[in-house]
Amino acid sequence: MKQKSLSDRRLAINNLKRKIFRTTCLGIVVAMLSFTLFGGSILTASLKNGMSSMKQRFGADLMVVPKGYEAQTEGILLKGEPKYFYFDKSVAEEIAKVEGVELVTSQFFLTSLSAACCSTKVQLIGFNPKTDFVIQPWVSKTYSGAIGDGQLIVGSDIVLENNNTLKFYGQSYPIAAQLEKTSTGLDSSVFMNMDTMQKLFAGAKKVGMYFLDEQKPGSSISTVLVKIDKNYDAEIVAKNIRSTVSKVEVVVPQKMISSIAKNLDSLVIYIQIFSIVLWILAAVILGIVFSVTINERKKEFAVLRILGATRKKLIGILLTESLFISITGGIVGTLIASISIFPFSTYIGDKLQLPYIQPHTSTILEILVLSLLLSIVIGPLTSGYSAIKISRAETYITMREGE
Amino acid sequence: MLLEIKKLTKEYKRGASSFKAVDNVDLSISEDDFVSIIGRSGSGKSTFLNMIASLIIPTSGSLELEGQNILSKKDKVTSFYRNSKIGYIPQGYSTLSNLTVLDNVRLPFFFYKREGDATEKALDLLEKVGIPHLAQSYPKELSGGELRRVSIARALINSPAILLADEPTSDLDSLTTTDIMQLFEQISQNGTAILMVTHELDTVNYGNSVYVMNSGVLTKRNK
Repeated sequence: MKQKSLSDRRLAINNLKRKIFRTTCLGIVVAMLSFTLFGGSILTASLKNGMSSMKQRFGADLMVVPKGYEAQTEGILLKGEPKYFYFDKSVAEEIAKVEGVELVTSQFFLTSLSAACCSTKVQLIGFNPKTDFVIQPWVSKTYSGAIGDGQLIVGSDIVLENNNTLKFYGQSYPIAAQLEKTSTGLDSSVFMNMDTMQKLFAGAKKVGMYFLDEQKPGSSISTVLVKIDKNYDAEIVAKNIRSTVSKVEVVVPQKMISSIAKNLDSLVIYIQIFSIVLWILAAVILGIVFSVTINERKKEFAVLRILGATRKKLIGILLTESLFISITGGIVGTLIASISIFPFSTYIGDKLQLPYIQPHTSTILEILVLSLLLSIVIGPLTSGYSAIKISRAETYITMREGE
Repeated sequence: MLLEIKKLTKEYKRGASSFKAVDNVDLSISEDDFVSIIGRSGSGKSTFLNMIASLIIPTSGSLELEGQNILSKKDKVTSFYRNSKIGYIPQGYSTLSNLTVLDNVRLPFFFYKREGDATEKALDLLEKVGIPHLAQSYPKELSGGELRRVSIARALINSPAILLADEPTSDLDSLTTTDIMQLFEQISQNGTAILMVTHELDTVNYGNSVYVMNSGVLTKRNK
């Protein structure tokens, strides 16, 4: 009959197996901890990532729109709600002359329909490649060539047709590139140059969609994006524009972002505090449970000492037991967190109403290692004191107490 | 001489005063001895036994096993000494409930690197103590007498020089007590010295010398 040797590891596993309820309960505590640490950290990193992407993508310091359309502009930028509004092209020239304005570029907004004529209802944005300083730097990250006439650049959330095209107002357009996620409304927008926009506008007219009453698209624009001189303050330039140009409203994206950032900061702080509190709580719970169970097992350890186990060996067996619990709980918690978060990132982002972009794999791995480390270390850390205490106990007295 | 004890003393403090649980005890045991120490509860016999097993540090005196002084040594040394030179049978039930009978017996073998087959040896010992059929059972399935036999087999797994038995027959019926004592006699005849402490007078009929411990003082008694 071949039997395995009784190493410290085997003794520890055996002890855990024979007390399966106790082992499972302790494992659940660690799993809850690692779930919160990993899940919370991924959530926090995704929100921070989304925020940073949002800051990067709103490449303009100011956005000038027709008066009364401030809220709709925010809807386009943050939630991707398709809207259109127009003012005269000459507004861009007026704004360019305002003190503190360094660059201006205009954009033309159109929306598609959720009808047979169109693949999907999205925000259509036409830009001027010659003056643009917002879309093209972003496009260049995924697409190096120039955007030709009739070509589209689409946001990350746009679902393409099988032949890599999108149909708008009865005509199919090839997709030149799909942009990386920004976690803004721009993810569900489609971009094109002004010539393509003209064709699309004409197509809309053919199917009976009149976006403009009398004006021609060539003389209208939806927004003027402004880059301000670095020596000027955005709020002051915005004030200058409001007082110089009539019937316009100035949106300050950074101001808009800062209110989102405020909400985000509160949420991140809440998650971080919750993680710290849970870690401390888990440490206290595990410390108490280990202390109680080790105390209950006094006689067992006294017997081991009588049989010739060194103090170091007793500590080794106990730390191995707690390490196994921590490793198992840590892995299970992390796995559950991964299953709950990664497949549902879009849903989570929508529900939070905050910019949400999952961090890069390397960051996820860093978070994984740190969360596992913090979860794994908690077992030996909290059982260490009790293990040392029991190893130093007088064996004879412990044996009698354990009777 | 296998075990040489001189002026062994253990002093405890109780409140402001102190008392000697073991008082200047001298004792010599050779390889073929089967020594019984009798005494009332609290007479100091268990303290004395635990000092020999290096589980209690004496206040003064000397203790040599096979010519080696094992007092005041580091934990690593005394633990090894306890594991390899001493077979200790603690008072009451001392098996580990998470292990099978076979693993309980094999366990001390694996505390230090050793040559040989622990399983074969453990099965042989279980045969000798009369419970080979219980090898795969767990302690909770065993009777008091059977548990005591497991403890005896476990104490013998590393072929110790001396077997220390603390009240080995307490809480056993008379028939089982006789069986256990006969088992000790066999072990003694096979060349393992035995030092047993007990408060049961019937058991002193076994072995070759009897001592009485009273208030920590050890005196020899004629059989």
